[in-house]
Amino acid sequence: MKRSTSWLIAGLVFFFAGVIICGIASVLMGFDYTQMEIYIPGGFIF
Amino acid sequence: MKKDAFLNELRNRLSGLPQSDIEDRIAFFGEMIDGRMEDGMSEEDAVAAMEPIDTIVGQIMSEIPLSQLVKTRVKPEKGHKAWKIVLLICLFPIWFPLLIAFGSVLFSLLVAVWSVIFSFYIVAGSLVIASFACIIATGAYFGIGRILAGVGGIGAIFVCIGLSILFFLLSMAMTKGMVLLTRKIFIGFKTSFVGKEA
Repeated sequence: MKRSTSWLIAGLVFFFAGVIICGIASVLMGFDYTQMEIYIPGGFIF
Repeated sequence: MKKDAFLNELRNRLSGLPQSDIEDRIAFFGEMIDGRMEDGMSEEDAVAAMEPIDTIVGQIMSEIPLSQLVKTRVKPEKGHKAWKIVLLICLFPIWFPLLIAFGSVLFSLLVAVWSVIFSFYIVAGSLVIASFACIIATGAYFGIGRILAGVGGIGAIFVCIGLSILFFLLSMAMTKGMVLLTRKIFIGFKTSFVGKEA
C-alpha cells in the first residue's frame, strides 16, 4: 500500500472515530454543552 | 521505423535549437540505436525500443534553459527589414501594454492559486495546534472530574488530528499538481520555440 494511502486511511479513521466519540459524549451529556466550559481566572472561557 | 527516419524526425522536431545542441543529441541517440543493433537487435526493433519522440523532445526541452532558446530563436537575421522595425516601434503603445497586461494576469493567477494552497497548509497547521489545545483541555476536564466533557475532548482531539492529516494530504496533492502543471506549461512554452522550421 502506498504511504499516502495509509495516511489517508489514518486521517479518515481518526476523523470518524472522533465524530463518533463526540456524538456519544454529546448524547450522554444530554447535549448540555455548558459542561464543556472551563472558566479560567482572568475571564477566559475555554 | 528505420534509424535515419527516426533521427530525421527528431532533427525536425528540434529545429530552432542551437545547431551544436541538435548535432550532439542526434549523435547521442544514433549511438544508442547503434549500441542496441550491436547487441543483436534489428534496426527496426532498436528504434522501436527507444522512447517516443514526444517524450525525448520534452526531456530535452526541460534541460535547455529558456534564455538559450530565446537567444537562438530571435537571433537577428542579417538585413532586418526596415518596415518591420518601423512597425514594431509604431505599434509599441499597443503591444507593450498588452504584453504587460497578459503577464500581470498570468502572474496574479499563479499567486492566487499558490495562496489557496498556502492557506490549506495554514489550516492543517492550525488544526495541529488545536489538537494540542484539546489535549490540555481534556486533561483539565478529567482533572476537575467532568468525565463526559473529557470524553468529548478526546473526540475533539481525534477529529483535529484526522482533519489535520487530511488537510496536509490535500495540500501536498495540490502542491504536486501545481508543480507538474507549471512544469508542463513551461515546457510547452519552450517547445513552441522549436520545431517550426521543418
